Amino acid sequence: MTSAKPRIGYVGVGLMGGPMVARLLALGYAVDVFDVDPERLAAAGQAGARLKTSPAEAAAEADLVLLNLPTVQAVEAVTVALMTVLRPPQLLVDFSTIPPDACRRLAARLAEATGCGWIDAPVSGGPPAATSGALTVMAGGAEADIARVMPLMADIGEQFTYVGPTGSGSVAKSIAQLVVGSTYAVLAEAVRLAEASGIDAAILPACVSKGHADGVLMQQLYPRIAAHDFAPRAYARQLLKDLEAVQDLARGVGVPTPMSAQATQLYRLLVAAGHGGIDGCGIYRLYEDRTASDHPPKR
Amino acid sequence: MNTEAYGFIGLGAMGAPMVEKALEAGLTVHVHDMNRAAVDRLAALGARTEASAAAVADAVEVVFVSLPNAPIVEAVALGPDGIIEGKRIKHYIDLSTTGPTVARKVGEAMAARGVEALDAPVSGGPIGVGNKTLAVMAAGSAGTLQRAETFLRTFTKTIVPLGPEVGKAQVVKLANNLLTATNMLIVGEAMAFAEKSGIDAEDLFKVINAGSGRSWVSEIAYPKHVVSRRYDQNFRTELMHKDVTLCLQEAEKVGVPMWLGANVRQFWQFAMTQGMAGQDCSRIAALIEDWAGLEGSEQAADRSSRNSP
Repeated sequence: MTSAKPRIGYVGVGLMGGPMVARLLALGYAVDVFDVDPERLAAAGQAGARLKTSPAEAAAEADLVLLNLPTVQAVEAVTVALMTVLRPPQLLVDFSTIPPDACRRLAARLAEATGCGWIDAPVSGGPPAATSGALTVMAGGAEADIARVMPLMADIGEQFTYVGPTGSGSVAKSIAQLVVGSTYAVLAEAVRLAEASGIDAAILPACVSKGHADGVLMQQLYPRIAAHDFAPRAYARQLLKDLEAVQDLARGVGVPTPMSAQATQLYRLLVAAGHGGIDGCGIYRLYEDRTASDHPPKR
Repeated sequence: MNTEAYGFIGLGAMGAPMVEKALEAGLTVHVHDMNRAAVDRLAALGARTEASAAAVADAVEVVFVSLPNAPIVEAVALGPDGIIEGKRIKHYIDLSTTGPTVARKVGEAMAARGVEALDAPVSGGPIGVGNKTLAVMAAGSAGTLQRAETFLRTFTKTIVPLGPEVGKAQVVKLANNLLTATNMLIVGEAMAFAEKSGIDAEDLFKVINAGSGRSWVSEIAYPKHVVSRRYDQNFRTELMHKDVTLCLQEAEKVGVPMWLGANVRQFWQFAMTQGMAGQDCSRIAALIEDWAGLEGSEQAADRSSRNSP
């Protein structure tokens, strides 16, 4: 392989894929993209990507085929579409968050059909980190394949961890989502309680700074909940999907997960109430007391 | 005079006493099970034994199954040497609790082979079979229910028809078992609360069962199996866990949040990690009593003997 940057085929340019493609283009990568949504596709075109009309076309000239899709069904559909066109040494890298068992199954099908490798590389950090190249990436795959994508990973992320064989990245991401999803619900409770108890809810991150309740989510997410800013950085319905995958994983290995099981049900309530399209931190909506005299809270 | 011969596959805690009741009533039953001892015991009572599920379905037109989980139902019904290969079968009745998904799948496969299916889970446990008070909920072919009724009546008091759509009876059964799984826990918490406050369990249940808190669990299960310390409900913890897990999975599929149900499932999942999988589900009460530090609970007794100098 030359020192030239690998040519990229990118399928799925939504909340995460969009800014990741923009960053790759800014760094000088050639990127062919496909998305089922014409508006998202057009946005990638404006950033300088070549627009394609199918996953197979996006992959045709690529060294690395990158996926960033919202559901396991979408990943499966695209994988099937790629089975007739991919050839080694082309390599597939899936940035989507999908259940580990589905990941292993799809990787095995792709390997059988094409001989191509599969790296599961779920990311954490949200769209801002995607834009600035500061993502946290946890990856599973064959070591030789991982070595090939290390320069790319350095361009998109600050923190990269090789977890183990294919599927291992998805396991790590699932467990990370257990922590994130449960913590979102906890922080929403904290905001609501602070509001109802008569203190300025927004002051709490400063109060607990460097204390045991401090953390990335306390500093970055809590202020958004306190500001009632639920514009989607990651959809609530997506977080529900991730939490459901956590529960499937836990059920499969027979481990009780009572806290995240509760969070899963709360997200199910939120989505059932029609809030699937707001940010995951909008779980706060469940705790709004529509009879309380302080509602809406005094700003 | 009934000259119909019946087939029955799955001679476990439910299936074996069902076949016994049918034999007692003078019916002809062809049986099969992987467990040789269970087959031999029923053969001694007059059952005809067959070497495979397919052989049962070769011998008779009406075949019942009573099996522990969905993969086994699918294998026995549709797998190699399965019921679907039988030459004579016309009616398939599934008495297991394995959820609507597998019931629908098997029902469709049977229909494609001209076999009518009935989804017919039961409620009442081995005791219900013994005293002929079982409840059957039945969804699927009305003709199949008619052909099955003589057999079912040898151990059943109530048959509730739920229409022609296979799978619906499984939904009702899972809803029922969600309540049982919940009540087994919450009655345990109520009992520990009362006991620790110095109230006799028998007095507690006298009041509960005359009041608004009563349920099958408070009327039958706890007085008979827990207060007596016999823990012989004859329903394993792993089966309770399986049923409530199935219910939560199906609720997830149809988009119904189960705020409480999720915790109930987690409680049983926890019990599974405490070595209770193969134990009677009524022992969950002892676990709750132990957490309450109640004198006389088995674990408390065990602990105090360990701690004594």
